[in-house]
Amino acid sequence: MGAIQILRRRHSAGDPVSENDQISTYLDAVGSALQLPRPQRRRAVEEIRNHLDDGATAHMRDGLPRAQAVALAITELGEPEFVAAGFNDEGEHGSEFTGVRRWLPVLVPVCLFTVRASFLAWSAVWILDGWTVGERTAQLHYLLGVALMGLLSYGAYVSVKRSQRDATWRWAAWACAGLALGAVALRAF
Amino acid sequence: MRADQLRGHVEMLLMAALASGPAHGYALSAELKRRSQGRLALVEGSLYPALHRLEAAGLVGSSDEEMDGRRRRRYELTADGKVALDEEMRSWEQFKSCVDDILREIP
Repeated sequence: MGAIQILRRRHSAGDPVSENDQISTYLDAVGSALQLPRPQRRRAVEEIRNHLDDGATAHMRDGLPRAQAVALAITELGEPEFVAAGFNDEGEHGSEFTGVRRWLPVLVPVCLFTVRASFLAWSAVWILDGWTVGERTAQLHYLLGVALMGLLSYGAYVSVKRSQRDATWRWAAWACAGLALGAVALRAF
Repeated sequence: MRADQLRGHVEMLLMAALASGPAHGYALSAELKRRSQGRLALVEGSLYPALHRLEAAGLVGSSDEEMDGRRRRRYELTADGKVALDEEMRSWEQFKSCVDDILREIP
């Protein structure tokens, strides 16, 4: 039996249910149905509590007594199981797109970009001692490596951002990471 | 208007409400009711998961603020959110005109 039905049944049985009891029962039911990490669960419950307070206050302004105002605010929010299910779905969906995992494809080209950029910067020191043909070739190689890895890093970044709205973009992000690794494996850059 | 008709559109409606300026969850719900003149049968409990989804996608930002001794979360549209809202509105207009064209042909 849902929390809202329990509260209605207690009401109709003449059991005095205080407004705070109603809110606590509702929030407990939502909290226990939430399958989220503790910080997210705390945030969800806090937002719902604030919503209930705001809703009850608005209904009281419209002339309802507090008990009815709270009951109406609870009904408008929906069954606790329904509310919790929305948050749980969001947690599952969100885990694919948020956190460190989502940025992994960007990490590969960015690391390679950093290494190549360091080599290129170091190669600038050679200028002081004059140039050899081999050094010129190596520096050109570093320059091309920086350009390619920079391009792939940017491509991976844009793809990850777009993947938040369209999951197919994740493939593009991983393709950028794959190309970066492939270029290194082939010793092309 | 039935709640199931809103499926897939809640995010767009929330972004549209946020386009007027930052707001708390309840204020957003009240704004949607006001703009729809109470015809929108939105179950309010579905607002927050949708807001969190928008936030995870970077389309909405949020910040905590202290109000009447309570910590409140205030949402606002990001620059990406404004672009996404424009896209959603264009897409909605196309969808609407397409459905209108089909319905117009009913004898």
